[in-house]
Amino acid sequence: MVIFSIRGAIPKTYSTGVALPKQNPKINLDLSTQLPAHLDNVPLALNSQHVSHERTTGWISPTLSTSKKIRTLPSLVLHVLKRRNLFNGLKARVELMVYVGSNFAMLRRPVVAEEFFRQVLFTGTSAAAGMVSRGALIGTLLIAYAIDVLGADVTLAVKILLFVVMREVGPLLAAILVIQRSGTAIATNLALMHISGEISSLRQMRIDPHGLLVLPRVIGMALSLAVLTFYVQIIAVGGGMVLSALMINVSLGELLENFFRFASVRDIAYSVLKSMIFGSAIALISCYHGLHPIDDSINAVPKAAVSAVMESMMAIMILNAIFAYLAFGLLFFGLVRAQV
Amino acid sequence: MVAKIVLALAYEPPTGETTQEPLCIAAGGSHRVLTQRGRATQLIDSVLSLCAHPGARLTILDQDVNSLTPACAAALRARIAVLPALGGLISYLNAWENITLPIGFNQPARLPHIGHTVLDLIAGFGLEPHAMLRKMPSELSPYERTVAAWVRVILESPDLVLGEPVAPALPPGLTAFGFYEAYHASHREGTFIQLEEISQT
Repeated sequence: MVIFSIRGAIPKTYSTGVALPKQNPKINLDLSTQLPAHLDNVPLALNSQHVSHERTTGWISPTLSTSKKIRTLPSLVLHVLKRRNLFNGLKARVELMVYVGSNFAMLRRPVVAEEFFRQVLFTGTSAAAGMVSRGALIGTLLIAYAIDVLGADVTLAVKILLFVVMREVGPLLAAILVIQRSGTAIATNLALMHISGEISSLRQMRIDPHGLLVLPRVIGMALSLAVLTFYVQIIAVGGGMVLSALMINVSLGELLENFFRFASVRDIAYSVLKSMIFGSAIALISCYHGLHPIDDSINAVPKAAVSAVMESMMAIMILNAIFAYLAFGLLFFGLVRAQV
Repeated sequence: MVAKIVLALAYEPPTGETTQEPLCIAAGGSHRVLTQRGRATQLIDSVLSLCAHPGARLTILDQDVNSLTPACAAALRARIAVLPALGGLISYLNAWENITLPIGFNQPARLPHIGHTVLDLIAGFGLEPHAMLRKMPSELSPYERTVAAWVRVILESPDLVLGEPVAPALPPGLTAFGFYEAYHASHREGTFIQLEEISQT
């Protein structure tokens, strides 16, 4: 056994003449030989620094085989896109979305309907209790801050409850909680099914995995999140109003009167529709990462969950900005205003 | 009147191919096919996907897969089933839901009428059905998992059943004998092909 040091005396080739891989920035190997084509995608045996002279079969990690040196920003962007396989990933996500959108009728099948109700139970019913405390806390915190720091009066307090809590914070808070609970659960569950061969078993039984696993989860989560959002809004706005009535010299009735003066059906429809889109996006992203883990090892399961969470968070932020622009002409928190 | 099937499965390798031998299995009865390591999985994949290697010819239930229309392909695929070696159960569904999953997805109209059939089949394998059907796959014994997979396939009444190579943990005779009797009792015209892989030395 030969122990390689990270720096210094590293042989240029293995004993059989196979070229060593190119430099991996993480371990700072000073190697520049091009990887032989027939060794592409051959997995590295293990990650140890202990390398035997006998292990000379050309087992080289694809992560060590970089292409040309990156010199410009466009080539860096292209390199990242290719490495992360974003084009194919985006195509797969869009295909999944189109599949769900065109196969709603599959919900009539009993087993698919069961999966739908199971998802609604987990995402909606089980999470509702946790929403009470979170919604009440966020509503009261925002109002307390506004009144105490900003010196808000009745009108400003009601506007904050309506335009901040009801339109934006409520849906975002519900979506974040659903990502934490249901997003990770879906990605983990599907990744485990993929790794243990259950997805293959479904195909052997002539069961389309997208129809049985993805479609009911997407629809179930969309509906559950819409209802959860409405529930959070009631709790948050209600809690905020109660605190406002206590902190400033105004009656609850006056607060409600002002609230209904500024509120409109458009606000409720906006938040409910946005929540449904959030729920669909979270479920689609979580299902995608669950059904496409990076490899077939058990380590891929937590990676799928993490990827699902990170991408879902980014997606709801982007969708939130798009919705605000489309509905109210606001972009970048009101810094850009469009003709609505 | 449905024509009687003559040929259950036939495979002709491409011309000039020396590593594969042709396969021809008549319809009816149960058969045991010995293959090289890895070939059984390839054959199962070819049959399930109704796709032969370039230059090869694959005939399933008297139909050449190369000349199938999409509708015929779907109909043919519905007549084929695979008996998985390790049960192939879905981990978050209980035994009843696992057994009725293919019927519930592909033939939902039959779902309300198969309850007694499931109970009778499980009892025929020497198990107490009500206790078994409530269990999750992780709570089932290897024999119960195997029986669940058998019952699931028998319920579909396929004309052709391919058995995956038996897992080393299970006794080799468990799959062929137990399943064959129950399958032919409910589907006399069906064909069961148990695939086995020869370990290369």
